[in-house]
Amino acid sequence: MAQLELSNFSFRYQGSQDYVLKDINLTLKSGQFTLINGLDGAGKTTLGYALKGIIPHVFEGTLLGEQRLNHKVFQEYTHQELTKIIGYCFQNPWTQLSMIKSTLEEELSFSCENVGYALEETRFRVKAIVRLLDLSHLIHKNPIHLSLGQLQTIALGTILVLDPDVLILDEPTSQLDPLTRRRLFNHLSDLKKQGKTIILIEHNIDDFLELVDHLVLLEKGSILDQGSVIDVYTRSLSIGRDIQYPSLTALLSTITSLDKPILNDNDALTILKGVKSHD
Amino acid sequence: MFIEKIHPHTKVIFTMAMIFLSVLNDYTFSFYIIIPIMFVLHLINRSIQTFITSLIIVIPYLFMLMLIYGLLGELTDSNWIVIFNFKLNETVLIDILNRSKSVVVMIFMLSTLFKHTSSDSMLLAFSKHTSIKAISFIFMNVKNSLSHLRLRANNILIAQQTRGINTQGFIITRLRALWPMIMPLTMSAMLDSQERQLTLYVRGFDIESQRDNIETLKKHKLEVLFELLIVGLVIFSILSEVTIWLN
Amino acid sequence: MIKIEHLSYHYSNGEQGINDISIEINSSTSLAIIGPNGSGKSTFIKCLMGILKPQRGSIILNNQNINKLSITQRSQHIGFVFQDPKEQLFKSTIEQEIRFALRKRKDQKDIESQVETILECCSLTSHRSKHPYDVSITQQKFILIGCALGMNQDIIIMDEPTSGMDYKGIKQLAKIVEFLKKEKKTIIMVSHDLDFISEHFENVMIINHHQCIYQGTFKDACRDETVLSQGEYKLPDIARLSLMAKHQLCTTHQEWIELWKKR
Repeated sequence: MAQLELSNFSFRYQGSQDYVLKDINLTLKSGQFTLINGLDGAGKTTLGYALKGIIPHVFEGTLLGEQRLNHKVFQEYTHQELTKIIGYCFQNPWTQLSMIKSTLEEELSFSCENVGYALEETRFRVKAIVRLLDLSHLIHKNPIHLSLGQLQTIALGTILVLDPDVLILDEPTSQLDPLTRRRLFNHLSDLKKQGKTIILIEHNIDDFLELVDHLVLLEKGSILDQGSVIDVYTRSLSIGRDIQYPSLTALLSTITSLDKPILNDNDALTILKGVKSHD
Repeated sequence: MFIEKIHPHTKVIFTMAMIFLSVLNDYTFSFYIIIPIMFVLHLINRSIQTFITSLIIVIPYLFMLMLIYGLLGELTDSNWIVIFNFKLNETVLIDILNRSKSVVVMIFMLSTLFKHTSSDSMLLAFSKHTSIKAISFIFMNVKNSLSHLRLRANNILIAQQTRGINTQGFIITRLRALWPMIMPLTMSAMLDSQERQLTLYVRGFDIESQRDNIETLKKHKLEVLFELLIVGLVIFSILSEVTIWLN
Repeated sequence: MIKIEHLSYHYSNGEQGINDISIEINSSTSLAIIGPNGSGKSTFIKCLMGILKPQRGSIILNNQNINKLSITQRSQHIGFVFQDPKEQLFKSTIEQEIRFALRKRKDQKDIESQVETILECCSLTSHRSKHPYDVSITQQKFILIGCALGMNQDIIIMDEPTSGMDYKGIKQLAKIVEFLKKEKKTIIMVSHDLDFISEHFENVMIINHHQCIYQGTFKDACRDETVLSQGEYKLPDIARLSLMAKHQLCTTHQEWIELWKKR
């Protein structure tokens, strides 16, 4: 449905000497689930902004390279088109509330109103999202009074009403408990089945690795490695790279050398059986 | 409850016009015409509380001015009250009224405007023009944000107490605790609004398009007439001032 | 030593906060508090801090009932690191924050050496002149732990410190937690990160449905299948694998490595 591309993309914020992103080459195919992982300060959020078009539309600076959606550069799209096609969820659920709507239904409709959908269309979309995210019992409540977990779901909903083909999420689980994280996992899994291109920026990789088709490791503004989960971690293990590994992989590598990542208990037990104990 | 039903355009034009006219004319316009009009308006609208709230803001302000000008004013023969350096007489009073005329009108008009206009209708009315949309959004946002800000200020106060800062007790202690609270509050409010700018952007807030909201607003013929009248009045006032000034 | 007896709190709108929680926390031990969000964890912590006044029950710290003490008074003994550290920071540089925490000390030389020590063990030496808002949230949390060290608080409570931290930050936090243990501090942490808890915390308390449904050592909690699942958690990887592979429970990396060294 939608393919995002960054070609030779570099960016430096205005007034800054250093480039936050250096020569990024990224092709995120239609329907693919991409996970972007890296340390704080690696440029993950800036990369997210670049994929959405927030850079350069909102942030000024020096931009090199190109951003493409379905093979056309961003500049060839209208602002309205980009808003409808690429959705973006931020880390803090609070700032994603408009604060001017007094019920959940109005809050969800807000995005549709902005983009210019007709009344009937808006109502239809809101109903669909409420059903999808299981929010019907909250529809008349004021979003300000809801819990963080509910707010995170609502923030997702305010973007999904626009039915974007691409969804970018910047560290959505950082303030959530395991139960809500699992719920988000289920929602993302459903969206992936619908064919949406999903880009997740996260530290909690273990919760989502099952869905990941394409893994991108970012370090100091450049792509350290990218590819399938198995390929990327296999390469990293072979050169002993210091990155965040999946939990089981990290655990097993303390007692044996691994040549490929371990992602489930069965593989772990197989490896463990072969570990020779030594005095 | 008719103020709420008036079209936001009309209300805003009326507000702006009254503030402008209060600047142009002397204090009699503000205190003898505007305030009584507002009183009657609120009486009919059954919202005398808003009028009283505005009074509660205005009276301390006037009192403060009275203190300042009473201490600075000229000593004349016809003093009403003299206490140490403080003197109140007709000159001082008129001075105060003249200096505060626009501020007082602003307080009454703006509090009425915001208390009795829903954020939805404001946004709806000004949806075509992004910059005005943004300003009206900010003003409307204030009501909700204020309660959120109050909550956050309370959290910060608690946070500071955990650092051993005493926020209770004598007034000096409380004042000393103020800076540790203001800094995080302002910073987090600024950071939040910076991020809110982005979240609104991704929800298409700055797209200039025909809005088709859940409700629609139509302007009544009377409202159009009233607007024309008000604008006419303003133009007339400007022309008269210019004529007087030229002569 | 903190003794909490029959602590109960309900909100003014009738909502239950916590119901009859009792627990004894020995000095110089580490306790992790886990449980689903909205089940009473933060209410419990707020009662400990003095933010909420419980309707029933008492909190006894070193044989003194502290129920009537204000937050400021309790802060002499209890340090708190909020989930959003920005609310607690207000000075212009990180070094000033640490100095502020040391303000009650009398000896100037002591203060100088303490500043250096604290900056060093919280990995903040290279950031000392930066504005607290200019560093990452991870480092802001470290500043507050440093301030707790500076104020010589025996008890340090941390609210979800690992949320939003990258893996290097978690490693740094681990070092700091171990340092705090060496300094014989009592550490209480609210968290969902079972891997971190498993590695560094002896005891655990599970709060669900507004009550304490388990308290005891983390190891014992792992031994009984039902315990963690009642709090909606699953066993940390290290415990699960060690039990499955060798029928022996490991909760720390050290034990894990030892386990695989044996025949």
